[in-house]
Amino acid sequence: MDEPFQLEVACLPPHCPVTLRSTLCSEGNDLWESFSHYVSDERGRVNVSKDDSLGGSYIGCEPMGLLWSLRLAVGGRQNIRLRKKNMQTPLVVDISLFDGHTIDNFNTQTALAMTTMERWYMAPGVRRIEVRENGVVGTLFIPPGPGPFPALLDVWGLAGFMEHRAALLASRGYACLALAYINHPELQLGSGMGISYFQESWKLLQSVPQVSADRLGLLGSCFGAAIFILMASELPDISPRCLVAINSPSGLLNPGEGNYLEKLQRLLPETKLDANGHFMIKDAILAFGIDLERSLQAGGIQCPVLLIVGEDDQCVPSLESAQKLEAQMRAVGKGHLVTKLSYPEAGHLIEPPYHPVMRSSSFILPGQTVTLLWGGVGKPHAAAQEDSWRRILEFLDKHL
Amino acid sequence: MSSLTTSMAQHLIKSVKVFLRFCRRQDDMEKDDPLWQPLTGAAERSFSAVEDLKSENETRISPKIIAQPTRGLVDEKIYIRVSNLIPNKKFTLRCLLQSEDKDLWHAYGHYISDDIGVVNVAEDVCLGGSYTGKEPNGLIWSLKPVPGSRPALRLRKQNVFIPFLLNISVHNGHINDDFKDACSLALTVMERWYIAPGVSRIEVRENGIHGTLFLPPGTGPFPGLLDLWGGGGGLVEYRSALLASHGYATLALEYLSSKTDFSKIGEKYFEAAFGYLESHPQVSREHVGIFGLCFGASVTLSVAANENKINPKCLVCVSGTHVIRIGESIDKAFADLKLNEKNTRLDENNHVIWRELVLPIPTDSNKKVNLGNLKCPLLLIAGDDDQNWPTPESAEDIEKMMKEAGNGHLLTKIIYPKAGHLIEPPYSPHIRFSNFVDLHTRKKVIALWGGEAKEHAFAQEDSWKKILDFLDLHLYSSNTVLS
Repeated sequence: MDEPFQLEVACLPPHCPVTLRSTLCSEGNDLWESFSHYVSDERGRVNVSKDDSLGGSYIGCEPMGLLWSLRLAVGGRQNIRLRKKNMQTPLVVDISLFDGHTIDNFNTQTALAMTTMERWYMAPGVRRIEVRENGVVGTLFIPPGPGPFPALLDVWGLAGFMEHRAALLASRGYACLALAYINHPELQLGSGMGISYFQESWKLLQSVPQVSADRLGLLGSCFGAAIFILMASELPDISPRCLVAINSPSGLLNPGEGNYLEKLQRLLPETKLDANGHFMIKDAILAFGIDLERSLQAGGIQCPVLLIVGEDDQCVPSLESAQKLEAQMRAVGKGHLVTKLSYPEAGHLIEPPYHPVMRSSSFILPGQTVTLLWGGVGKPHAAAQEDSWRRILEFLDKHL
Repeated sequence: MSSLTTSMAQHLIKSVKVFLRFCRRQDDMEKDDPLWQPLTGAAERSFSAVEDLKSENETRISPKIIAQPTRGLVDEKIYIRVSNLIPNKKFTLRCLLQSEDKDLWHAYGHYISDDIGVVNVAEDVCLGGSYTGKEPNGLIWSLKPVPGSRPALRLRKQNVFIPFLLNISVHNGHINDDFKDACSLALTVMERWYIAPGVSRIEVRENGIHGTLFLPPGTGPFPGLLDLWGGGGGLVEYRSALLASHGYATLALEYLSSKTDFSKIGEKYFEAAFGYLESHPQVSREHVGIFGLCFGASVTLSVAANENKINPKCLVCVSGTHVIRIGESIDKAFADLKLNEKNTRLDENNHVIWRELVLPIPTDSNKKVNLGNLKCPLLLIAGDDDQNWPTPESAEDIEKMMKEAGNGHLLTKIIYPKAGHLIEPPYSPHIRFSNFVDLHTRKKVIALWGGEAKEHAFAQEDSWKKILDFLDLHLYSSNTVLS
C-alpha cells in the first residue's frame, strides 16, 4: 500500500486528449473515484509519472494522484472515511481510459482500455493474531520468520480501532500490536480505557516470544499519541526505544481515568462551526483553556521522539502542542532527542501514503453524529503522508 | 492538438494499452529510500549488533530480508537484500517452494556479508550453491527438487489462481543441499503469479474446440493469441494467463490428450480455434497471432503457411521444427515420425533423445512446411543444445528457405547457445530432463531436453523480452493512427 506505481498508456494517436479514471469499491460498498486529464505525446503515449495532468481531481505531475485524490462518488453516501477492515484482502483499484477530457457520466461511456491493481496492507507471510488477553483488546501482526523482531504499539485517536497501519508496519519488519482503547465492543470501558490498560498492553507486547523485549517503540496518532507521550514521560516501567507522535494534542485530557468520549462530548457545545457546518474542534480545545504547561510533563521522556505535525490541523492544536513539547524537552537538556516534522497545509488525518485525502468527515459520538473538520489541502496533505511515512520508517529503522 | 469525435475514436482506436509497473527496482528508487537502503545509522547499529551478541544485556535482533516484489508476475525480476547480519561472515540464502504436486524445490547461494552486514543479491557475487557469480535472479531459475525427491520432475503451474509461494531464508555459514538441521535466521515470503489482477479465465468448449481463454481487464478489443504447447499434451494454461496479463486475449488450446482421437485433429481444428479468436467480440479481428512451442510450433508453421486459410498477424515459434507437417490429421505426422523410430537415441542415463527422428533435414521441400508461403512476420527461437528436436538446424533451414523465396525479411531468428528445448517464461527452473508420457505410444520415458542452467536461464529471460517486444510491435503498435 505504501509502494508507488508507474502508470503508462501506449498506442494512442499522438496529441490525443484522454481521461484516466480510477475507481475503488470499498468494503462498505461505496464507490470512490478520481479522474485526470492528459494529452498523449507525439508517440501516442501518456506517462503518469512524468506528464502533467491538465485538470480533474488533481493538476500537474502527480504519479500517485489517482489514489490520493479518490473521493466518494456523487450520488452515494458522503463524508465517510475510507476504511479497510479485512487486512487479508486487497483494495482493488480499476484504472480506465476514456477518450477526450470528460468530467462526469463515465458510466455512459465505453472505456478505451482498463487495468486493475491490488493494493495490500499485509505482505505475504505476515501473521495476524487477534489478541484478547488480560483485558487487552487488539490485533498483533508479526512478520514472517523466527524473529526476534523489534516491536511497536500502534494506536489511533478517538475514532477508534484500525489495523491497517500496524499491518503495514509488520510488512516492513516490525511486530506491531494495533491496540484498541476506545469505541470497541469488547472493551470494558467503551468510551476510553485508562492508563493501566496501556501498561498492561506494553507488558503483553514484551512477552510475545517473537518480540525482542528491549526493542519496543510507541507509534500513535492524535489522542493515542498524547497518551503515549504521557506514558513515556511519567511511567518508569515503560521505556520505549523511540516514540512517534502524529498530530498529538498533548495536554488535552488526563488519560488516567479514561472516558474520553464523554469528556469530548462536553466540549462540543463550545465548538465553533465553519462555513459548511463542520465542527472545528481545535478552537474549542484551546478555548477550554488547557494548561499545556501543567498537564504535559514531557521532561520525563528518555528516548528519541519524532513529532509529525500537520499545520492545517483543524481538529487538535497539533503545532502548538508539538512546539510546547519540544520546548519542554529542551528545557531539561533533551532537545536533541526531538525531531519535529511540520507540514504546511497538511491536516489532521495523516495516514500512510497515497490514502485518499479528506478535509472533513462524519464522526460518531454517543448520541449524535457530527461532521468534523480535519483540515488539510489535497496535494500538500498527500505529500505530507508520503514524506512522513518515509521519515517514520527511517526513524524506526535507526532506533529499533 | 487534434481531438477525435467519439465515433472516429471507436473506429480508429482499436487496442490501447494501459499498463502498470511498480517502482521496486533499485534504479527507480531514491538513493535514501528506507525500503531499500540502510542509513549510516544502521552501520553503527550493525557494529553494535556484533557487540550485542557478545554482551548478555542486549537481546539479539533478527536479520531483515527485503524481497521484492512481495507479489509479482513470474516474469518480473526479483530483488533480495538481507541486512542486520554480522559483517564479513558466511551466509547462505535459500529459496524454498512447494509445488502443487507437493514436491519441495529449492535453490541456495553462498554469500559473504559486507562491512555493514548486508548481502545484496543483485550486486554481490555468489560463491557457490545452486548457481555462482552475480545472479540477481539465481534463487529462482536454479530451483531444483530437494534431496530425496522423486526423480525427473518438472515444475509446472496447474491452477493459475494460486501463486507460487517462495520462502526466502538466510542461514549461518555455507550450507550444501541439506537444510534439514539448518535453522533460518530470518525468513520472508514472495508470491509469484502467472495471472495479473483483473484478467479473467473462460472455459471454451464450442465448435469442437477444447481450451481456456484468458482476457485482459476491460472491454477491449484486444489483440489475440492462439497458444499451443507441445507433444506432452493436455491443457496448459500458465503461459496464456501470463500473456493475457500483458494485454493479449489468449486461447490456450488443448489438442493432444490421452483421450484424443488423433485422426480427428488436424488443420481444421486449429483453423477453427483461430477463427474462434478472430470472431470473439473482445478480440480485434485483424490482430490475432499464434504462439507455438515444440510440436505446437510445427502446428503454427503448418497452418500459417497453408495459403489462404487463416491470416495470423504474426507468429512466435519456440523450439520447433518445420520438418513435422500437420495437414489433415496429426496422425500422419506421428506416423511419419514412427518411420524413423530407429533414430531414437539414449544418453548415458537412458534418457531419450528424439532429435534425430527428423534428421537429416530433407532437401526436398515437399517433405517440410513451405515457409516461402508465409505472409506475416515470424519470430523463431531455439536453443543450440536442444536434445528433443533439431531446432537450430531447422531454424537455419527455414532461414535459407525464406531467403530463397524472397520473404526472408519476415524472419527474425535467434539461436541461444547452450540453451535446451524447454524455453519457458523467464525464471522457470531449468529442466535438463524430465518424465514424459509419449501420448502416441503411451510409454513413460525420461526425455532429455538439454541446456546448461545459466545459459538456459539467460535464453528464457532474453527471449521473453524479445517475444513481448515482437508481439507489441505487430499486434499493438502497428495499429496506431498517425495523424
